[in-house]
Amino acid sequence: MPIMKGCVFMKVLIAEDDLASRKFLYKFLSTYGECDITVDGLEAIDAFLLAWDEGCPYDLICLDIMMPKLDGLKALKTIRNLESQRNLNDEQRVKIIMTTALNETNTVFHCFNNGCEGYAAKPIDTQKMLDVIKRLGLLK
Amino acid sequence: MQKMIDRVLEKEKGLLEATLLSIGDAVITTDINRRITKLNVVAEELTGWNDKEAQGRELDEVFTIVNPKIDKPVKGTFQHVYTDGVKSGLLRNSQLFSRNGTRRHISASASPILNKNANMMGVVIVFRDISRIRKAEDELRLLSAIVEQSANALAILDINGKVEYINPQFTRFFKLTAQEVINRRLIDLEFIKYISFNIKAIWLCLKEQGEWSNQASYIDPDGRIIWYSIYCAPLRDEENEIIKYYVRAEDITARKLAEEDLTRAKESAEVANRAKAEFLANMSHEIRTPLNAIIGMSNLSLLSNLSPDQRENLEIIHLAGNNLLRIINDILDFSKIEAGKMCIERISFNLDELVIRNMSIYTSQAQEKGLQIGNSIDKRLPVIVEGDPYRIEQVLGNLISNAIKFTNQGEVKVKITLKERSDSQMTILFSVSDTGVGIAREMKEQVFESFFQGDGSISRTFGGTGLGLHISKKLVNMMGGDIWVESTLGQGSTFFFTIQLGVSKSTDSASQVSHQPSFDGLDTPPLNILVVEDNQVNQLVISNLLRPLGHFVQIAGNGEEALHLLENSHYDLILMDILMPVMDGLETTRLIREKESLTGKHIPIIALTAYAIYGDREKFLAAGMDDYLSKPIKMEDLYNAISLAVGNARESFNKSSRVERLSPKDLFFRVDGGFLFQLETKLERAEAAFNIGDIRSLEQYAQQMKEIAFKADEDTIKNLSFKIQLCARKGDSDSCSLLLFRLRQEFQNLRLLGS
Repeated sequence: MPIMKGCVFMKVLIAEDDLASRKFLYKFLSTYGECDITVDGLEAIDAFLLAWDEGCPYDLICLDIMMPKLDGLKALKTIRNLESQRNLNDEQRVKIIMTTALNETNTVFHCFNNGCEGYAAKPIDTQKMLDVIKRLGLLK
Repeated sequence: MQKMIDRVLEKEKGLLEATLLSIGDAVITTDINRRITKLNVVAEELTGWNDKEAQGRELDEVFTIVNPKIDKPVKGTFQHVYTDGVKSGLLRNSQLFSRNGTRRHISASASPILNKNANMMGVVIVFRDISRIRKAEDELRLLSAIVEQSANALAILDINGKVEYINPQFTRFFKLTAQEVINRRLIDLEFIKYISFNIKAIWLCLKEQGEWSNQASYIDPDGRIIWYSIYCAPLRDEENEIIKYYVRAEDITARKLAEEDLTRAKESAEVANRAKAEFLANMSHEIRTPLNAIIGMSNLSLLSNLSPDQRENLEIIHLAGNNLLRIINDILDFSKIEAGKMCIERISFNLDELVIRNMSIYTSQAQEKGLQIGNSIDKRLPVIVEGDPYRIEQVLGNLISNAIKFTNQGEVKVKITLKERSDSQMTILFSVSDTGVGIAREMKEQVFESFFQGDGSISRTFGGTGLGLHISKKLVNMMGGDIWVESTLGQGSTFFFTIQLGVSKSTDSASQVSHQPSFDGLDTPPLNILVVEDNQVNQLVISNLLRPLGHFVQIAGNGEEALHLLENSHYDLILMDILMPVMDGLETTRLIREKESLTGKHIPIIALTAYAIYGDREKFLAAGMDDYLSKPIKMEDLYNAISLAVGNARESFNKSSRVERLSPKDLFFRVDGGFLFQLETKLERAEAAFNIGDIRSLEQYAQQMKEIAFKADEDTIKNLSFKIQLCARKGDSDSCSLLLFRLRQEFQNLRLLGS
């Protein structure tokens, strides 16, 4: 198979520009895997590629929609583009959950249309997020 | 002779007498001592005295004049006629007091009767009843006064437009005296130029429509702008012929200014209102973010081990946070709607699912209160519809939660029916009915009003913002429907709302058309390709990419096999996997090149690699590869690489379609000196920061190094720096230490290459 998961733990990439949200997500998700923190869309893409190139890609990315430099939606599109360039199918793609403080139905739809697996409105319901993560098969 | 003369005289006297008697006016004659000598018939009528009776009486007795000012009979009427022998009239307003008490306004004149020798023989008084004329005069005087004293400027023009009359206000308005304007055409007057109307157009209008009125502005000699409301109309005589034109100008400056003030005030109020609503709408993100922290962190804490006290406290915080969130959502929705920034989506969704989902959300709430909850959906409704499911949920949820809130026993029923349907649209009726407290008739309209206008006591008694129904109403209206309630106090209520939904068009099948490679024709002839790859699946994959194009593909399972095959056959191209057991791709390639140095041949070799570890690029090149592709292999990349490799050996370092970031700098081992210097500085600082445990500064320096490396296109350095940045953020000192070490090594490598 093209992707080698030499990593034992679930690898999570968190992209979030607000400090409190970051800390929250980091603390919460660290219970279930190894988390990296990025603060904007560009860093998120860099981290995504870096992990990929090292042969240990992320299992889950939590992308905030409102971020400086490059917003979550654009980052999502970019990541999906990169993945389709490498001919990954849906099973192999990294699971992406978008987070946002805004209640924009418009944005939600764009996110789903661009291929995210989930969408969490802030404040994040930890139980719901856990359920989604389990359903996505990320926890063994 | 005498008789003839006498007869003639008699005749003349008779004629004169007859004439006197027939005169239409009243005639009284007196002698020089004011004694009545004759009264004619009309005089008899007006005075009430018979001629015979009046004979010899004093004038004042018969011809009694009353001065209405003193209201007493005048004594010695016309005395100066007798004394001075001059003609005279009566004082204005004098009235004749007849014998029977009737008063009449008369017009009278008295003249001395002079003989041939100019000696006075008597006085003749002629008079007439002018009551009618007086009445007409009084009316005229009144109308005149109205015109004269009018607060409007008035002008009368003749049929040619020449001014015949202007009233004093006209003079005051336009600073023109009657002399200056009378008999001149209005259109010729200087001041007309400063009025904003077109006289020619007005004439035309008058001729066609008979009258004209409009507003016009006038610039007065002091430069002030004055607004007038002007009215022009013709004046007609009894035969309906136009005899004059009448122009009226009313000063409406004050009114106009007041209008403008009002408009400006209204506009600024609207602007302020909108600004306020927009401000709130924009604050959405800002408000939610800290609220986020409150709810999230309390949530997180609740997941950990807590004492009962702590748990209780945190639950309160969590609950309060959620309540605050609900309130803020309501307020933000409300202000978004007021600011006109609320949008209704139009997307396909499953109506059945929406209803079921909403019912299940509220089922536990209902059951806690011991209420039944149920729904029924019209079977004729299509399952997939087009509309805004989030807003529909919002309204439906609002009504259901209200129903539960206000009902203590019984049930809550939700019903959805199809009301109307066309090809593209349908009207759906939702109803939520309960057996709750009901709503008083006076309140039925009020419940949909916003929090700020309604009855505050409801929100205090039952909780909530009181905005829910108002927002629901606005949303329903925006979705092309109505919302209303039927209720009986003490028995229950049913809330109804209608919305327009679109009929869903058939959706395309989910499967996307798989991307076919588009290349026009084959620009490489069929080749003999040696594929060196140990993984069987990969072997198949590559073969299936190459064989359909007409290439001949030979598979070797490892390096040894490959070398063996090469001894016996010719290949145009080798695709070399790097990670193989026994002999890896690099080793194999090196050996092939060694052999070639003897033969002078050069077969293009393309490396296939799963991931490039740092320094691999240099290794590949050093080993003699021409190109490389990263796995999973993209068809286009493979074909491009092949045609390039076969086309020309060494210049095939590809452009945009490649994902791998290979830079010419790597190829030619040229390293920018300036970059090295900058990097060294930052690296030293980063190392120093790490040594004193300043992880935050380390993160910053790592970021700076990343940016320097990015500009210089040094991916290895960039990636290492980025990794240090990420680990520093996490506080992972061990990884930072390791990475710094590797970064230092890499840096030294580059320095060597550069020199």
